[in-house]
Amino acid sequence: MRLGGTIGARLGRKRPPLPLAEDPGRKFVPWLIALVVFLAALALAGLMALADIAATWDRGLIGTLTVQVPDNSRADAAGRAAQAKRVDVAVAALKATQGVASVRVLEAKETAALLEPWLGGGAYVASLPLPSIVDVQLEVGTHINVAGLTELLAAQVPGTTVDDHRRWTDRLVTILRAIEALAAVVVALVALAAVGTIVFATRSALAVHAETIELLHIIGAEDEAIAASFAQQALGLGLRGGLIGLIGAVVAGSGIAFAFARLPAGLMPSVALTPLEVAALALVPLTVAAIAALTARATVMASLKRML
Amino acid sequence: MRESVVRFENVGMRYGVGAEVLHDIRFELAPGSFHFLTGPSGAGKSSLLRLVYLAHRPSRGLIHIFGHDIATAPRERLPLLRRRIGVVFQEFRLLDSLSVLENVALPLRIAGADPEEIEKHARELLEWVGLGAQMRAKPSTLSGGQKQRVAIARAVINRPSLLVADEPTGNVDDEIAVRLLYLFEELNRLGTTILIATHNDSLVARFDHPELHLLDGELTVRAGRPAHPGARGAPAPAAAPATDGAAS
Repeated sequence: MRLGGTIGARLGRKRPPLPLAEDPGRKFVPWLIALVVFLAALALAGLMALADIAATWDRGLIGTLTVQVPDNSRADAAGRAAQAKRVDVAVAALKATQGVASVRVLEAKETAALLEPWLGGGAYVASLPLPSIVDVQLEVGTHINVAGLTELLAAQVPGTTVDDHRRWTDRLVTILRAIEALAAVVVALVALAAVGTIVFATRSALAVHAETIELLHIIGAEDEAIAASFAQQALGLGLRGGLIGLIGAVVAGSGIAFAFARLPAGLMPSVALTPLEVAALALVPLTVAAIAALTARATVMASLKRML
Repeated sequence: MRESVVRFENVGMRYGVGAEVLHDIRFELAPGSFHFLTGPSGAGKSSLLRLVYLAHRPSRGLIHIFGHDIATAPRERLPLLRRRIGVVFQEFRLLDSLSVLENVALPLRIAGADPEEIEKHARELLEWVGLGAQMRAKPSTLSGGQKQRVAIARAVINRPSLLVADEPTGNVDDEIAVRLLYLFEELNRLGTTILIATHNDSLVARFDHPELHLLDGELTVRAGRPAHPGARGAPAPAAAPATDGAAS
């Protein structure tokens, strides 16, 4: 067997022989990194999803508007005809509005059903002067000027109001923004923990291999070559652990997304990560591995600099 | 006049902030010379050798190795100087994860020699020290004497200009110790400057070489004594290649 084929592979010019993989403690490093990447990727995915939801609600693009046409007429046939005419005018105006996908006037019994939790199901509800409710579905991504629409409708049908649910979405957005900030802090802390883990693991390895490093140093190995060996090992461990962590995060994230998808339509806006966000998630293990390599290199170089 | 291989001027040394373990050390090693470094245990022999093979900074004084002032030599130059120094450590310092052959080959690999040349010379050296049958063995399976020979083979594979050995006979019996000294003499005849630390006075008495004597961190130089009759005759080592930074 040729030496070139044995130690040649292990003792390459750019890869001095540091048997780091045989350090029992380093077997745990990929798992530590996997855990860190798992948490970081989930936190980042959550952060991005929250940001998307908050942005959707913040822009008022949840996709629906509710228009109320007040019923000021008498409760007789002429009055109902007048109200129907007012509703038709409002519906016509809505249909003529750009970005409106569909318009549906709720039937009286549907309106009564909405009030049932508060007023009960008595027949008297039908005699109340309830406004006509118009459910408006918007085209995806459409931005509607609610104030302008309200003004337009009120000009044609006085008293008509448009509700874009801003009052309660504003509160939700506020809560979401707070959670988003918390998630950002979690991501930052996880990143710090990743750096700490790598520094600790590298220093432990250095302590175990201090004599080997000094031997290589004395024999004439260059600092860069020794440090590169450690960095290469750390990069490999980081990539291996990072991949495990990312796979775990993708599985867990998919489970959460599946659970959200089963919620009734309209309760939550649908959130799909953009290609850029997916790329950002894929960068997590790469970033962690790069941090591992750079930290290892810096730690070893600092140690070697203390020698002659 | 040829430049000294090693020159110490008023060198002091301490570990960290501890007390000075070497004081005002002054000596020179001429090219091709052979010196013993003697003194009782704890006298500072290993510390002085660490300064010679560039593992430690002096706390004061000047050290010149191959004409280079270590204090002012650029750091990137030091690995090349270290490759010209072969070191036999007292505790061998073989890498247990590597085979005997890989351990011996280590200095040449670090120096960037051709893999085929490395294998050829590592094999030759191991045959020379009588370990041809143990090339694939791990150091942990070898006896103390065998490890010593592996350590010597590793120290000389680079054809160093200076060979430094720290108690190389400390783990072997007298007969093997004498044979090792013959071996060092053969290397010396090939032009290698030799410095051997030992506290074995009887061994020193058998060979005609000057002595650097350390006592309580202070050095005195003693002239060589007549050699023991018949202290010659070990086979010469196979020629190893001069590599980047190695002496020609």
